Amino acid sequence: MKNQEKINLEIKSIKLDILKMCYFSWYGHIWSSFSIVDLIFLIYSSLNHSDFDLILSKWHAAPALYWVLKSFWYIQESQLHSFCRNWSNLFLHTSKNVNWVFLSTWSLWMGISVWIGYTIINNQQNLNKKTFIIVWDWELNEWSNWESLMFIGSKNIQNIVIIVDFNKIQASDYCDNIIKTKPLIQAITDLWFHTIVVKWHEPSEFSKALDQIISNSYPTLIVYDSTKWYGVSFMENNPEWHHKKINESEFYSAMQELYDKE
Amino acid sequence: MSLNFILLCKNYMIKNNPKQIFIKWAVSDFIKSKMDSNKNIYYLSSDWWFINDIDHSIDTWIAEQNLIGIAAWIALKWNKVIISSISSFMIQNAYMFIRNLISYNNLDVIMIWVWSWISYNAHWFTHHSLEDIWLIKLLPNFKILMPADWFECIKAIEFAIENKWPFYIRFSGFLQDEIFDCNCYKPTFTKPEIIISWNTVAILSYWPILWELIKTVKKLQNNWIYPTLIHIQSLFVYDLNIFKNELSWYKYIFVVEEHILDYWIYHEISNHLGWNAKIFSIWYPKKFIDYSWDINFIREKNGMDCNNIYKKILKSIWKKL
Repeated sequence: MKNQEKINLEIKSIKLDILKMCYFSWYGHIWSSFSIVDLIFLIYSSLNHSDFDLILSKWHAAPALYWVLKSFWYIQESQLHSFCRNWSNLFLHTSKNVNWVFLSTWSLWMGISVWIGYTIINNQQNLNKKTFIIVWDWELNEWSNWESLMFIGSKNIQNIVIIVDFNKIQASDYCDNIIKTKPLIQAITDLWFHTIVVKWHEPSEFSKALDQIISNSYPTLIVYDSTKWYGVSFMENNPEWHHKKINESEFYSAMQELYDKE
Repeated sequence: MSLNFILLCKNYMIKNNPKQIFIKWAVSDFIKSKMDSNKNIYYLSSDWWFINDIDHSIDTWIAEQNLIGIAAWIALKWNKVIISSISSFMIQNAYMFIRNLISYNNLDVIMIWVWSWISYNAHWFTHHSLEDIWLIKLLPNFKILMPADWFECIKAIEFAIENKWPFYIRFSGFLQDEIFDCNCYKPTFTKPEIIISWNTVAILSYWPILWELIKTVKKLQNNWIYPTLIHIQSLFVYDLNIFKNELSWYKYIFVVEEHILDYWIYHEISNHLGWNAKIFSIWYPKKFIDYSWDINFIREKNGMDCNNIYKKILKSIWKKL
């Protein structure tokens, strides 16, 4: 892994880029990206790229993936400037016209089942690749996920790693005020998953989790205990920022705060 | 003897019809042989299987959405995926998955949905499948095939394997007697098949109501009317201009459809050929069927049994004369 200071700096730079991109494209859902950008970056910077594949089920956070891929030269910055514009390939949910995306978009709760198909093919070809999929905690309310999770556990699908972005906020309110998601984590563990809880902003903890994942092949669940909009005080843990568009003054104060942050 | 008791006995007889087992074997043997010769074919099933426990076969049981998701990625890796499931559950549970993953991505997935007709058992309207064609028709890229007997079903699967589209094969858990002679019949699925050939009157239809129409044609023949019975296996693979040549010299064209919500063959043909004046449509009323599970009873109540179809055809011809 690169040294911690450099990683923090790169993550900060990516966050500023995401904020700029979303502001200039007039598109919301910025905080969905902020909660997992460091997670994606850590995976890409820690593992050999031929040893894993990563996909989002929570496509709302696609800007985070786009910018991490850009920082590893998979995607060009000029392409990112077309984000959410007419004729672009880069939307919040991706298109297979982008060279590293094979299947055009799914709604939130479709990811795990698709990823099972992907993992089965990989395992049959003995590729021994880790396949990461990032899902949102409240996405787990959808029953299709449970069809897939039960299938993974029962059939003991090897090498699949499900990361739950456990940020505890739904689209319009806190999960605890709508449908509590915490019991769902225990339910997944009971489905024969090996569960690891990782505290957000603890890269060393996440590195330990990655070591465990690499040395084993059983189905694994990582609970990524995250905070929404961490780094911008007036947006942090505030559900209304799920879809709210950022205005000029908010944009500049958010930029300033992120920039000043260590 | 009560009516319910008779219906139950009838259902028992249908369920234990040896032909049902034969069709399952025939289709499963065919899929197995294809999988043996082509290692890129995968077979996935949900609740209704032809084969299991062999390489490249996965059974997800009653998890239709999961099934479609898995199939999507397997198909994406340049594989051919055959799915079998029960029509009513697949269409109702997994429509969004089918739309987003299979249809819009134009993946090589063959969906064989069994029991794609009024009802397959006494489970009432939850098990009815009368909207399936219309729902699949709405989706881009999908080709719908409607084989009429076991042999045509095998040929339909073969056709779907050879062509690169998402396919929906509308099928039954048990089929009636053979319509086509498997020794000489060579379906193309690119043009309609003429089952009984005469002139003046043409009747267009598809499985499963085709069986009522074979009986209807015999009744019409007793009245000196000799219609041509045309089996439409799929309008989605045809060049509709074929109909211009095939149908132009019929004086009366009847389209009989056992499908709710839209008279889709009538709609396609009359729109394309502009012959509204001579095309008559006989189809299910737009009604919620919640009063029975018995196919013959439902057909009779909705005027779709052979006697009622016969009367409707005669009435239309007399009106025109």
